[in-house]
Amino acid sequence: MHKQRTIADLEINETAIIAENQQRNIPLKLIQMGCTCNTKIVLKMRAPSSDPLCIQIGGNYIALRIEEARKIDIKSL
Amino acid sequence: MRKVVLIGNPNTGKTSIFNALTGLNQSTGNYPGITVDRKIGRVNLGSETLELIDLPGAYSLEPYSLDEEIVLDEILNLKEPIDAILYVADATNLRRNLFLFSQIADLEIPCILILNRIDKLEKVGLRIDDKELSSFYQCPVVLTSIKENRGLKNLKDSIIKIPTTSSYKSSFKLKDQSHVKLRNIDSIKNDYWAWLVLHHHHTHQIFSETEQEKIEQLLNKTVLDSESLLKQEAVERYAALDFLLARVVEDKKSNSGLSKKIDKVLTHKYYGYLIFFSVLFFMFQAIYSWASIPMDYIDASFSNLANWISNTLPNNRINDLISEALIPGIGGVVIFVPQIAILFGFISILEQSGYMSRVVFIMDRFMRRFGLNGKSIIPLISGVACAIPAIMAARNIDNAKERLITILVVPFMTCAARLPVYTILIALMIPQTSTTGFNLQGVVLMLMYLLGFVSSIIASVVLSKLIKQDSKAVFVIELPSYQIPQLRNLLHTLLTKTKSFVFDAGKIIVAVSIILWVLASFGPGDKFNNAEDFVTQSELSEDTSVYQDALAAYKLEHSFLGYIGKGIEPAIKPLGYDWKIGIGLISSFAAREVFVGTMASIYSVGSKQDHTKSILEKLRQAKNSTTGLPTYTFAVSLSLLIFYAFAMQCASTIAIVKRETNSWKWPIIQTLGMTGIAYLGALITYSIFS
Repeated sequence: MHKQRTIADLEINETAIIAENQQRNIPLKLIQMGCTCNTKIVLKMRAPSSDPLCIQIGGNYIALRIEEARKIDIKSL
Repeated sequence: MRKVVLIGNPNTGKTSIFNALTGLNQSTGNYPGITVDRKIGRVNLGSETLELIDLPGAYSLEPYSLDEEIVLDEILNLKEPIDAILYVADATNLRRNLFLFSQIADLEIPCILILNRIDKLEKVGLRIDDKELSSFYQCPVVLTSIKENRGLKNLKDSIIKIPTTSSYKSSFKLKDQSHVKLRNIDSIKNDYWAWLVLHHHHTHQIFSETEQEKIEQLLNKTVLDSESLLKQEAVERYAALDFLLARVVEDKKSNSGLSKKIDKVLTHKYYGYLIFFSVLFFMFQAIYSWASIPMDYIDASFSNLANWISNTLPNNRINDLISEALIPGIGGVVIFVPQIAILFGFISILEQSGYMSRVVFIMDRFMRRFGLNGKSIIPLISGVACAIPAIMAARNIDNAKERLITILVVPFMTCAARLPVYTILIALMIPQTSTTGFNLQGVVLMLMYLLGFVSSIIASVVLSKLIKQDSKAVFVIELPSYQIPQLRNLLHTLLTKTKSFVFDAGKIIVAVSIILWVLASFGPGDKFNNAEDFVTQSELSEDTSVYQDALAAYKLEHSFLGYIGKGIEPAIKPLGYDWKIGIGLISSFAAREVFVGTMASIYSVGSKQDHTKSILEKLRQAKNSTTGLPTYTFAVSLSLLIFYAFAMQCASTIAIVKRETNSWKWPIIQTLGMTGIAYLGALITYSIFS
């Protein structure tokens, strides 16, 4: 079985869906910004040395640190 | 008068709506205890006038940042209840904008939902069913575009017709039976209020003492896992919203293509930094070169005014107080206005355009290594102009620890007030000759700037190890799409920020100037009061101004300030200083640049001669009163330079730190710490070079 992918593993412009049961891994603030389970996200940018990352949720660009991104599992499309 | 508040996410055009509704009819105040500006305006509706409060941008009623804390505070403040809420949502970004609105609606306070930026929505070919939205939330929905001046009349009409009670019935339900008990308290009108009380009764004084006790009793032994409950709330709200939005709006658009292209360049791993440093370079050039013209003008105007008053009013103590302390004191504040206005202007443009969050994005990792945050970069950079606006700029940092560290290290940066001191000390140390084509003085000045930056970074590393303070805040920021800044908003920001600097910092600078003047103008005993008997006018043939200067110098030596200088002489002797420098150091605690002026009066520089040059000449000729050798040797000048680089000698900064941290603890620690480092640094420097 291959390793579970997280937001940190996404390629630029790759679309994915936040996996089920991730609620406890997603920081409250990110959930309030609309990043909930089963939401579609796109990785838009990586800052130099890949940290922080910028993802698109709906029409918004949200930046988060790789430390948090590594904890959030995704399902590839 | 009805009290109406304006709430919304950041970057929704909320402030533009506030400005459009109130015009110039607004004022800024501070929230008690904390210090984010509270903007209040009056809206004239013909039949009545409303009080409108512009609350800071928030994403949720569950506070994460200082700004969100204020929004919650205002809502939970039942002593002055809110009559109505105007909620501003970005129409192009409904899902996230309606999240906070769904919480607001659950409060069952009458509200109006404003869908702003409707022009942009039409451009991408979307339509929102505002009737459906209005019937769902049982409140008026108004479509506006401030840019195209649309919908404002509709909005005012809706505000006039706003009812006194909300007809929306919240569907929010408490699940845990132990929490439902809170409904026994009469003032809690529905489940959502009970929910807010449940999570915030510890941190907010919402009700009377008796009710507060009753809450404690009811919740006795209830274990609360706030974090996961709040996450559950957020998830359920988004699920409900997705269901609603499917009916109200078509598929969502993404960030515009142009924004994407700009981002490619501005966050590029090489160009991104190159552009950022070019922007900085341009900003500092502007701060120094554009500001110098109005600054010279202000300087001249105030000294003319002081001269005029000194010559016009009857010659007495009051005259001296006004012309020697009050006017120069106020002048000393006003002279910084051009620099501060330009700095705030740039920062405001960078923020409004959306560029600032990109800078935060590319700098975060670098800053984090030192215990700071990407957002710390702005305060640190602004610190090169003046620590006061810089420390205020640290408010944007959500993480309490990183914010505190930023506030504590900003004063290490070489601020504009150090510049006059550095200029004169460097001139004393190094002759104005250029070896191998470089201006050596310029190189030393640059090294001093570098020293400031490096020490603030080292201080952050040390502080982040020492300060034990956990912060739940995770770094999550929004990168809004790029926008052309609006001139009107820019001018508003400039005006309010500059005003708050002049009045807040101004009070302290003026007060300290007066105290210093009193200490310098009065003295105990004969030597001060009858100085004429002690200073002999030996060479009558010489200009009388020489005698006057000598007399003034003698009086200063025997004034209270002079005695204080002599009192601290033993402490500063190891650094190579005498009591005259001691007076300069003490007076610098008002503001560093005062040093130059104080030195001028101590070494009795006549007013006739050319200003800077004559100070320099006098300092070169100055002899140490005990040893008789020249005072300003290379070692003494360098030691002073080091002292000024580190010492916290700025009453205004201390006051601002007190205000921003809301305690005396941190400004005291900071002042002692920095001045301690300055003393040690100067001591070591002097021992090595003498």
